[in-house]
Amino acid sequence: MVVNANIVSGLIVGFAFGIALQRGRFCFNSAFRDTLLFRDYTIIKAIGVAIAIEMVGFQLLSDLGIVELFPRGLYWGANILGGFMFGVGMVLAGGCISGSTYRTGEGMVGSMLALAGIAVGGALTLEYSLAPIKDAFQTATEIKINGRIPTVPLLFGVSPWVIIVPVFILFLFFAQRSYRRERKGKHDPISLFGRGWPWWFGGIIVGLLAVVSYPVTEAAGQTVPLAMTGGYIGILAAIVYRNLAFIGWYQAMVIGAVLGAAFAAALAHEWKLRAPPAKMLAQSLVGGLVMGVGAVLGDGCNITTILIGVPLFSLGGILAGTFTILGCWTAAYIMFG
Amino acid sequence: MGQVSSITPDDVLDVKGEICPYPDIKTRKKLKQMKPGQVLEVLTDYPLSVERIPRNVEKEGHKVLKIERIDGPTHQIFIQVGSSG
Repeated sequence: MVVNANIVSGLIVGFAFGIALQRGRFCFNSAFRDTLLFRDYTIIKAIGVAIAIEMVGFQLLSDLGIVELFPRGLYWGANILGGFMFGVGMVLAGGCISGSTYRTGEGMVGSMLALAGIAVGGALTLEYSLAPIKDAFQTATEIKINGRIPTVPLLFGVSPWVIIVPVFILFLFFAQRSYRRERKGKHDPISLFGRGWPWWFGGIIVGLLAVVSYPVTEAAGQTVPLAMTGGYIGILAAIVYRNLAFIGWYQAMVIGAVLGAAFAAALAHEWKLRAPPAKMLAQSLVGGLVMGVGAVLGDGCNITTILIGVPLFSLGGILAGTFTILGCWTAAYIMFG
Repeated sequence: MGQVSSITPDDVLDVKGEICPYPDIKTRKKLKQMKPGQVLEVLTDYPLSVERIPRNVEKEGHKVLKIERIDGPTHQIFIQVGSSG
């Protein structure tokens, strides 16, 4: 590891992201699962707001020539299987990668084991025993449109704005309607380090962070802002091989995110080292392993597929994200239904 | 530690250390086993559940009597079982 601008920018972006994740309670697992178990739509609305902002922000950055957009590829078999595994794994682990990251910062031991599982499962699939299976799956089911990565605008042969504008207006309409209905004349001030942020505030902050971090990510030579799986795999490699050369932008970003979440949790009096019974710890570790395999096989965790892939209209991201939700619902229904 | 509470619960559910969605699911199960009017005390240190349990039990017809921070992230939530069960 050379302490260079990339490490510093990764730490800063991660730190800000960690604060937003902890304060916004940004966990995709809670978001999807709660719609089924509790008919609770709070976190999924936050994700919707973030995606709406990103759609506009990413395309503006691209039109202004500030970034080059690289939507993730479509490998339907790998996206379906990997996405579904990721969805099942996050229910077992009690949190997806972003959720487990912020809870690790809060001092929750089960989430630390989930992250360890993600790193091991991800590494096995990326480089070791499961890598041939992943490669075979991705190669056999890859689809391109005229040699290009398939996206919704490419599929229909239209400018991305033709999709962005109506979708953004629709999002805005539902968001403000929901906001007004909940508020009913109340004016609760937002407390940065008191209770969790309201969904719309968390969504705006995460969306803006993703947009701002896009050029920073590309300046560091990477393509997917805020993606976390590779970060944890790299940290595992650095520990196993005792080689700091594995610590780059993504690794610095996830370390920054855990620190940012810990900082926010401490200020909000939510930091404490705490562990569930042993059986749940084991379940978190297994869930992490399944998530790690799914994330690398399906080409992305929720951040890559849903938070970044959907606003870029990547068909692979949309497909994997859809199956993550289905996997989450299936596992939640069996375990808690 | 927090002051002595004036509410005497009929049952206590300690889910400290547990995360998504166990505190919520166990609370819901416990409330179903209790009689209308009885009071359940839930002990949880999982921030999301401290906010989500009150929101969801009220939707299910129960009444949140009090939420109190004991220490750091640890909270007591007192819930009175609703008549609809």
